[in-house]
Amino acid sequence: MANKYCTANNWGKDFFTHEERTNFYLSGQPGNVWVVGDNTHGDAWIVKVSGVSKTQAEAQAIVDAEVATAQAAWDAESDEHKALHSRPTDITLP
Amino acid sequence: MADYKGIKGFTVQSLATDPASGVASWAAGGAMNTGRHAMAGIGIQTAALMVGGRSGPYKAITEQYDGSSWTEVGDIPTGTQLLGGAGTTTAGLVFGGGTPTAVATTLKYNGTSWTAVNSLATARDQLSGCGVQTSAVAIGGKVSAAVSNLTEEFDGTNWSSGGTLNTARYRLASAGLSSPSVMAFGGATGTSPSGVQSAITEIYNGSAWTEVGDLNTARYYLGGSVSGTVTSALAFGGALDEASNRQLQNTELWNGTSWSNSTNLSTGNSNLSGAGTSSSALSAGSYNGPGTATEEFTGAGGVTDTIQNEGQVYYNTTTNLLKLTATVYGAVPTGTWSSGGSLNSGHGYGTGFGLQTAAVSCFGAVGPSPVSANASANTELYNGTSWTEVNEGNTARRNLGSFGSQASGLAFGGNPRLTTTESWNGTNWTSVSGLPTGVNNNTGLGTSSSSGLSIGGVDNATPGKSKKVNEWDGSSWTAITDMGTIRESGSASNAGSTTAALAFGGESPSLTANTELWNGSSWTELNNLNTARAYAGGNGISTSALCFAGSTPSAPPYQSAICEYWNGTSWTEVNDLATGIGDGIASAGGTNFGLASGGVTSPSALNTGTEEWSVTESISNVTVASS
Repeated sequence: MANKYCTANNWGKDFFTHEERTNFYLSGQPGNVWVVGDNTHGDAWIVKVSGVSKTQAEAQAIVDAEVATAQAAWDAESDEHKALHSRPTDITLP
Repeated sequence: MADYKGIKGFTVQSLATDPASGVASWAAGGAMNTGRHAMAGIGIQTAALMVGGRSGPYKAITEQYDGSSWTEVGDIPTGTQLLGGAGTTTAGLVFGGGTPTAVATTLKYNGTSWTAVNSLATARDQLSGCGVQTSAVAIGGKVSAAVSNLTEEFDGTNWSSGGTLNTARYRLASAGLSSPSVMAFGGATGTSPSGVQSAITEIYNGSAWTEVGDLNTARYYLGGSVSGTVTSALAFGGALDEASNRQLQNTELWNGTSWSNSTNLSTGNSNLSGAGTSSSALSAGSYNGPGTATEEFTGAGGVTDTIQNEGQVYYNTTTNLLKLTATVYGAVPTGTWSSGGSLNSGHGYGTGFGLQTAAVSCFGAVGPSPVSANASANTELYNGTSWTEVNEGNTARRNLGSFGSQASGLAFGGNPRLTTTESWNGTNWTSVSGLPTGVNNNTGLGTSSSSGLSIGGVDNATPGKSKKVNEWDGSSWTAITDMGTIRESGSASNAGSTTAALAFGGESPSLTANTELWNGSSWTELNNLNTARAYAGGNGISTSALCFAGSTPSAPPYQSAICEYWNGTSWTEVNDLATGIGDGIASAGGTNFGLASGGVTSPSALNTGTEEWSVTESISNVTVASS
């Protein structure tokens, strides 16, 4: 399945609808990155949410930066916190 | 034998056939013989003309529709696109348009052929027109490179100038068989680079235009029910903008005051032409594809015996069945998640209860992310659209259990292994009798503060992950039979009862997919989840439940978007959430309409997002009894 990538801020209600979820693949990622199914419905959704299109590499870089920040924050946490919470894992965009 | 009237004092309505759907719909119509776009649409759904247009070359073709098929009739003299039209199949009128030069030509149709009559005063194309042959209106358009606000009125012989549009527009649509009372909607304003789509609607009274309620979706190159009225019209299709070439399916219904969204066209389309009324319209032509396709709109019916009205009871005399028209829901596995209103603050490691449209998200870590371990008593209420922050609880904490409704709930336990229990009455939290033993990472189920269960967690009495269960009777907790499986950060059927409950997932100590059923006296192990996880959301009852999202630390992504449905026997994976979340999801609702808010999203952000699970609902004729 081919995907497209964009960044968009989730404004809440109706940012994505049930109909849209039926019509195309959608997955939210760190850094307001959205992985969007590559079809006309997905294209229309990107326009609707004023999404800024990214290449897969650009989107992956945004996600990687977010994860790296979170990993650094986790590394600086107390042992008690580390015992309670797992270290954020790397994410590979589909 | 006594009849129903004899027993109850009134009769049950008898119908030979079931009431038909009252929902508006578009259905495929007959294909035109010549594919094209930018025609003039004239007439009604069962007697329409499509005149001129373009598909590469400019077309002079006229085709007539009888409600099922198209027949080519008399051509206009010159191929013309984006022209105005009015009238009927036996008394038609077209005017203006581009050949490609904008023209002022006016042609009358007598049911067989076209005859040139007095021209418009101002040549223009991309205009709209409506009315009848003896009383028509030409609206807006482009005069050379300029956008026009001009109106001209035709009296059957001559054109005269009318009031000017408040907003000059072209590529617009119009409706009004009873000229000069007509309306114009949508279109394009400006000329650079290709016009700006407009939602503006204006109504003409024969002398002046008045701006009224906007379309919900601005667009140009749209279609309209040209034979509608200023109190009942239809707008459909069009283009959002040329740059994205987005062809719209959107259909909107005008009720004299405002536009409301109606059933979409089957295919997104622009440069289409419309005919008919708001309840029986025709869409023809297309900028994309072969351009021969047409669609027919049938509007929603009113309150009549033959149209489905929810709650209508009747006896079908043909099938001998007593029936009820009622709302029915689609199968749970067909549900999907959509975005809901955003929390005012990111909530992680908290809890929640209630319904999709009346939910509570409370306690947990609150604030910007990333966040170290913190705790709050923050409480927010959801009304199906937005969250409102309300009175806080008394004891700040995280990783706790809860159950209940927006008017009557209970929150209990939490870090650091608290016995603390608080009761929510819709306005305030009140401290009540504590759990027998301090616990955190427990979960709960129940529909009000009068009854429910606290399940598993990490117990203070025997430090470590627990299989203990406590029952709340409205005033105090009592330890009941342990589960068979240790379950920390597990999930439960949130609307279950103290005699019929489902517990699933959690850590035991590693992630478990285990599912157990409580029948009021003992726990029975049932079929496992497909994906083991902890901190998942849990909705429903013991025979119909959802398990959604949750944490899967051993199998990235750490925060899962997976949703599974329990049908009373086994779990089936259904549609995912859009975003993976774990660690303190505030779940609410059931298996038809559910809610997931808060929690922690990847990589470690407190979540302000909300997603709403819904299955389809529709009106259907349901059999109550057979004779």
